Amino acid sequence: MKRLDLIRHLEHHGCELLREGGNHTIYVNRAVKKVSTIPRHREIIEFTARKICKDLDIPRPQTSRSQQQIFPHTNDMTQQQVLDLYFLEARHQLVEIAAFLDRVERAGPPADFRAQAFAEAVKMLTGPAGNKAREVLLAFSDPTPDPIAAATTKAACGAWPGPTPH
Amino acid sequence: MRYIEPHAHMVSRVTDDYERMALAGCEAVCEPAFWAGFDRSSAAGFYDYFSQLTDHEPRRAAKYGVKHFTWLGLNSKEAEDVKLAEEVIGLIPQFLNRPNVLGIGEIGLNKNSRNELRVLEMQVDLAARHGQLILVHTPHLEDKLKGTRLILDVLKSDRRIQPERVIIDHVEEHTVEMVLAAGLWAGMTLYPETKCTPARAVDILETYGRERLWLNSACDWGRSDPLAVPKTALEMKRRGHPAAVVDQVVYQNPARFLQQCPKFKESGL
Repeated sequence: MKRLDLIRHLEHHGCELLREGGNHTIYVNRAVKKVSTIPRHREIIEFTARKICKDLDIPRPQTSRSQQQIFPHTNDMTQQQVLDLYFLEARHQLVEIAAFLDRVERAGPPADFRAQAFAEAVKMLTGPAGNKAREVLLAFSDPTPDPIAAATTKAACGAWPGPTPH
Repeated sequence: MRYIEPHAHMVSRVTDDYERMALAGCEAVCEPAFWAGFDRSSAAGFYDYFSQLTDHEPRRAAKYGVKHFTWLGLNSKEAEDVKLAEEVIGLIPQFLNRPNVLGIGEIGLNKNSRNELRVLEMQVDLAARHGQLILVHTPHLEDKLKGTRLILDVLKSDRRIQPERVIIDHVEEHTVEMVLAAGLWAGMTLYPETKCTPARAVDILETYGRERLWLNSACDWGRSDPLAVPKTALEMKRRGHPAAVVDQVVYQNPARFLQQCPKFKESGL
């Protein structure tokens, strides 16, 4: 949506400009003492607009009727429909993971850092709703900020071995 | 159904793939320069490759009514040798006026090393000096998160770069938000084992909106599927997305980004 439309929506729901930051504008909802930052882009993506409204504890903006026809909210499938479409495939994938873990265990120790990373990532399956894929990917990722001295291989192995290679 | 394949390495595909893609509705294919699966021994190898991308490959595509475009650059897998990279970057300007060249790509990072970062900065500078669009490759698997952050830092630190003229490719659930929030375009690559599956790509579209996202197969010499984009369009249809929404994602979005290059706009797509 257009940034201007989002700001109108925030102000309509009682939010006020708090201050201008370097790359963002900061709005406050004084009624509930919540703040959020609005990127200084002409267009604000749907996800960000929804997050800003959630931060400020106000309803998410409604798209116009014509926009709804062209760009309907697409996570409108019911849980029943999602299960009908994906349950068997997901069940198959879960059994595959279970069989993989059995295979690793049957092979016996020592397991390398990938087995530990896998176990940590599996824990994310019981994490917060709506973010499980993201959390699994983060569990496998190198979290450090600085470039490495030199590349000694071209390939990635799928899990970060940690600061000291195992 | 019509679609644009905005990222495919057709030099490593057989001609039958052009036929299958055309039958599935592909109207244009865009081919970034990439790693050949082995390191080239000299800059001359790149000269021949860039000639292949700008001369031979468009003719092969045209036989099936598919328009062929390309991006030129040095892939980060060959960026550890900075001297070679400088020679290759020096070759690129003479190809930029060729009729199917869209910009500089795919550039980026692979293992997030200092030399890769230096060569990325050199290629971003090349794009800025010549007013070119940029297509960025983000690293694989465990290196993607850090690499995407480093790439965004490089782009943000160069004030000549307009974010809406840059696409960051191979985003996944943990990197898409930071790319879109920076005002850049994001590409989702559909691979059988790494990157996105069709179902996850549609999840991302449903979560983050469709304004600045595109889909691509990045099919190459490895395990990959040149029909991954139309298969993801089918996935959208299975979930009840109307044809207009599918068309926006697989045709209008890539066209909207690529039309920033006058050569693409003049092609009538």
